[in-house]
Amino acid sequence: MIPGPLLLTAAAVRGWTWLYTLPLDAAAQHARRAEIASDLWEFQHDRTRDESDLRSALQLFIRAMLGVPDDLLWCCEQLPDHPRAIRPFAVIKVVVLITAASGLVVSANRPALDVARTLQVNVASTGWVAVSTKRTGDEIVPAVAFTLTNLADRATSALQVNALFYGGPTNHDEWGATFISVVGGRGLAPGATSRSVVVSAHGVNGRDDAGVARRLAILHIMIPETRVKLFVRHEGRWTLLAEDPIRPALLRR
Amino acid sequence: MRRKPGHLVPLEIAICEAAVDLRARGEKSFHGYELAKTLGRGAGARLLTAHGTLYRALSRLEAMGLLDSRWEDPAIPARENRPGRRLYTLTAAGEAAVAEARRTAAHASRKRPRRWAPA
Repeated sequence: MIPGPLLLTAAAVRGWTWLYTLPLDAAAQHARRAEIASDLWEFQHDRTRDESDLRSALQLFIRAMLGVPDDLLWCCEQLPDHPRAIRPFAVIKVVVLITAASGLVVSANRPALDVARTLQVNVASTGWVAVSTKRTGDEIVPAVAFTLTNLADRATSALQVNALFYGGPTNHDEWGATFISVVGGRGLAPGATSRSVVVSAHGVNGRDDAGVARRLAILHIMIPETRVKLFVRHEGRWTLLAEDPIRPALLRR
Repeated sequence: MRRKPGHLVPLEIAICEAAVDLRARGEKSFHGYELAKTLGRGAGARLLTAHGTLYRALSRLEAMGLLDSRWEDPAIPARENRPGRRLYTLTAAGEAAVAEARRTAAHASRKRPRRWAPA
């Protein structure tokens, strides 16, 4: 009795032979399928082989796999309008072009992800951080800490966020804007949440200077009402994701 | 890489030589699996020649007129309860090709420079 793995592998080889001979005429199809069927039968019933069943199945599988390029080339050579032996590189080029073209068609036909609906902003905290720079000296700037969660059923592309801080006495003053890459080229998988990001009107990390914070704490009553708008850039398009008030409190990171 | 017309690649030469060996053992014709085993034994390989590679080479050799093929009498596989075999035979042109390949190999080995032995 022929053991299971060997029988399955032989069936797979017969299936592959049936597939690659499909474009050929009936005579060529029959000849190649019958020849492979004979080869498989001889292999399965060869009593001179001293191998375990699994090893035989593995050998048969490898033997079939290694022959796949020649199977395809042979098939091309049998086609009636085939002028001369097809060069392997020409076949490889055609396969690569077809794969690339089909990839482009699939991505072009795919509807764009509606990030306004499918990307959730999780604001962890807002407030003010103390920074000290040579140019401006000690100051406090608005900041926001957040993550992004992908609620869609497919992955996003790269995601960049622009945080625009505004407000002040006239409610239109711009404190500043900070641009940051939140998710790289691999995108954000469905259901995944990005790393936590802290952005301030002074840049991504806003220097955490405890001394400055203490000196400026007394000023918090003068902190004007400020808000932050978070825009996300996905596949070249900017979308407003969230708008949040900045709490009038000093943030400690 | 394009091959020269009439030029045999190593596998094709090996197939023709295996056919000569099989004939010397009294087997005038052979089938694909038998050939794969003979080639494997000759090369000391553990894996048999891949299906696609072997049958494509046989197809080329037949197209070049170095091998002839026929399907065995259907009564035989029916009696033995197995699929029919395609039997290949080396033609006169095939024998000439083997002789030519052996001559070329011998010539190449003579032309190989000798190593000088230490004095």
